[in-house]
Amino acid sequence: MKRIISIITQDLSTALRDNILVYMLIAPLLLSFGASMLIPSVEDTSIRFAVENSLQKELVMDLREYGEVEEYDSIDEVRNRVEKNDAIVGVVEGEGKLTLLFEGNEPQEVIDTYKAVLSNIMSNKSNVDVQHKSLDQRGSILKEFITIAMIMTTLMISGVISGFNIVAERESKAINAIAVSPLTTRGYIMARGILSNIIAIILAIGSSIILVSFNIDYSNLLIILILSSFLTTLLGLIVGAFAQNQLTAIAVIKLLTPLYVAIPMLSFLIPDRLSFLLYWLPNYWQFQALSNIYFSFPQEVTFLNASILTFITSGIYLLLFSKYLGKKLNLR
Amino acid sequence: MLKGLMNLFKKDMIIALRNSLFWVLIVTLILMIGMVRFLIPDEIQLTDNRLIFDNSQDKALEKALLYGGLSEENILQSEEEVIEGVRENSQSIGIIYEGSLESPRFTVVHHGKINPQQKKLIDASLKGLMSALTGTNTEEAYQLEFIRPQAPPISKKLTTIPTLLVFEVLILGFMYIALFMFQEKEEGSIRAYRISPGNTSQYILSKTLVFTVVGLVYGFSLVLLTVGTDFNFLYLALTIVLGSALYTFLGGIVGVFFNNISEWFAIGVSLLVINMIPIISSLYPAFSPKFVTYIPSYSILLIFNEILFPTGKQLFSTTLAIVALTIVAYIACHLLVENKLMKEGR
Repeated sequence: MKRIISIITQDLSTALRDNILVYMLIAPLLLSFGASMLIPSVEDTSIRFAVENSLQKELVMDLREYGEVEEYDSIDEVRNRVEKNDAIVGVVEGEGKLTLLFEGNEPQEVIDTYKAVLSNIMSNKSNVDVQHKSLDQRGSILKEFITIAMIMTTLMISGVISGFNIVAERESKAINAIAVSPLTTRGYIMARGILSNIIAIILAIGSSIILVSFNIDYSNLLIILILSSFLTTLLGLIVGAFAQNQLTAIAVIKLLTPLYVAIPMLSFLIPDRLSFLLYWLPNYWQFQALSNIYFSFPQEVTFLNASILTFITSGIYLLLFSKYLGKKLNLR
Repeated sequence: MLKGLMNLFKKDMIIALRNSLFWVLIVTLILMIGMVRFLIPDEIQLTDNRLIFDNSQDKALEKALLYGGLSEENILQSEEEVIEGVRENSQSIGIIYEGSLESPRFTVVHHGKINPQQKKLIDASLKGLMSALTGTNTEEAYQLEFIRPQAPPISKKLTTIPTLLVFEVLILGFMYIALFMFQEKEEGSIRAYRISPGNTSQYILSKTLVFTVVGLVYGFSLVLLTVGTDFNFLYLALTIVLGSALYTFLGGIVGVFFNNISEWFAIGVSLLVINMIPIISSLYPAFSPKFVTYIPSYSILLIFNEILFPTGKQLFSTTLAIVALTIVAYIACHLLVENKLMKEGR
């Protein structure tokens, strides 16, 4: 235990000396803060119109009820605006007839939306009564999705930075000294895992508070973070075992990142019948557990089952990998 | 000058390939092609997410929607079923129709908060639906004009290719130039380089050349094996060269401030995440606030989109802006490498 604490203290002092800890804490939290500022503007994104000043004021007022309106002095200016890179559609009046001015690269659904708006304004139909009923007041799926992605990213950052310490020990040959010390492979893995998991838990909870405030069950988040500790540790060990230097470390991370963050996220896009292809990934179950916490609608797998599966699958991988790591680093 | 540059280029290329880069790129390429060709569906929206309950006497809406191709599974028999269905699926929207064609009443059941403009858009589409049902379309009251001919629809899975080109292929230089610097600092090669005849330009350009060549091979392999050959090869090559150079210079600008991968990682990853914000604009084209358009990947994404799926849009000024940015980035990178990295090597 003394040797484990000694490695942790050494990692901590290196992290403090080189500002690594500061960067590790500040960067993800700032990123979460930026995301929390950005999400509302994405959610409130509405359609946009570029109109001529000469258009009837009543029509412009009606258009404002549907989206943002930018006014220009002439048809040419409206055309120039529509041709710019962002998405905006012109409304101009030529030869007594209103014209919806598109650039030509808009998808059909965008064209249909603008047509529906203009048809609705021009028909003045008031006999269609529409009521809205919201089932919950939580944010959109985008916010929840980004929060889960941020949490998984912070866990990955914490895990792989611990892996960089192993790489540094391999580069400086310090690992040879550890190998001849009484420290066992299990002890070494614990030493590498404890600090990275403490940082991971702090960062993940901090990111979550910034993004969704206190609107989720933090005891559940803490449970899945603790049950994910094998997985966070495993990420670091994979980097440490396969990378001999910093260049190969980033190469390993380049392969690890899509496998860890992107593939579970893609489970949203792939058909349900194919999701069994991802069952072997502990991070798939981690994503399912986090989905239970953040999404307001029921998930196919319950929080408890997903959390247990995260723990079991990552535990199996860690067990298998620890044997490989022990041999690779010549640990006891 | 050129001979020195080529010698450095050879050395950097060997270091890059010796350190697993080649194998990582091959595996990533296979993963990306597999994902695009087999995993991502042609249309992201696999199923119609509308849950309809037509509570009217004549069931006119239900009949019209079924005739229009809506699956019977989307037609429900009570308000409770609609609410339950929406509750179970975050993507669903419930539409309950009552009354008659002359006096229709709708209740839209959804998740979360919807702003007034979005509500009005939903109302407009429902009113449009009723107009179509009653044959009172007002489309003749206005006309549509397209500045350029309408572009053909693109398979949704292929729209991921420009995104992969920017966020996988071009960013290689951003990451690797920093790592080269750390490695060289640690090994003392920077100190050796200072007393060699090589200069700062050669130092930066040799690395830029490595990631430009790698980017060209990697990028073209990805495009040829997914999109095919129907695109402007020269324009794609030029954009990859320009983009790879820009990101390598930006990577150099950031990299000089750090000493090793541990220090750089959290900041480097965060900058790469910020660089990815324009993906939101590709998903929601109306979301393009000024600050997003200033992120270089925003313009490069547009250029790649236009190259692979041409719509006739002129992007000369956008390309020119990227050229200007690349020149500025080079100057900044040169000054920082000269005054910070090379001095540290003394």
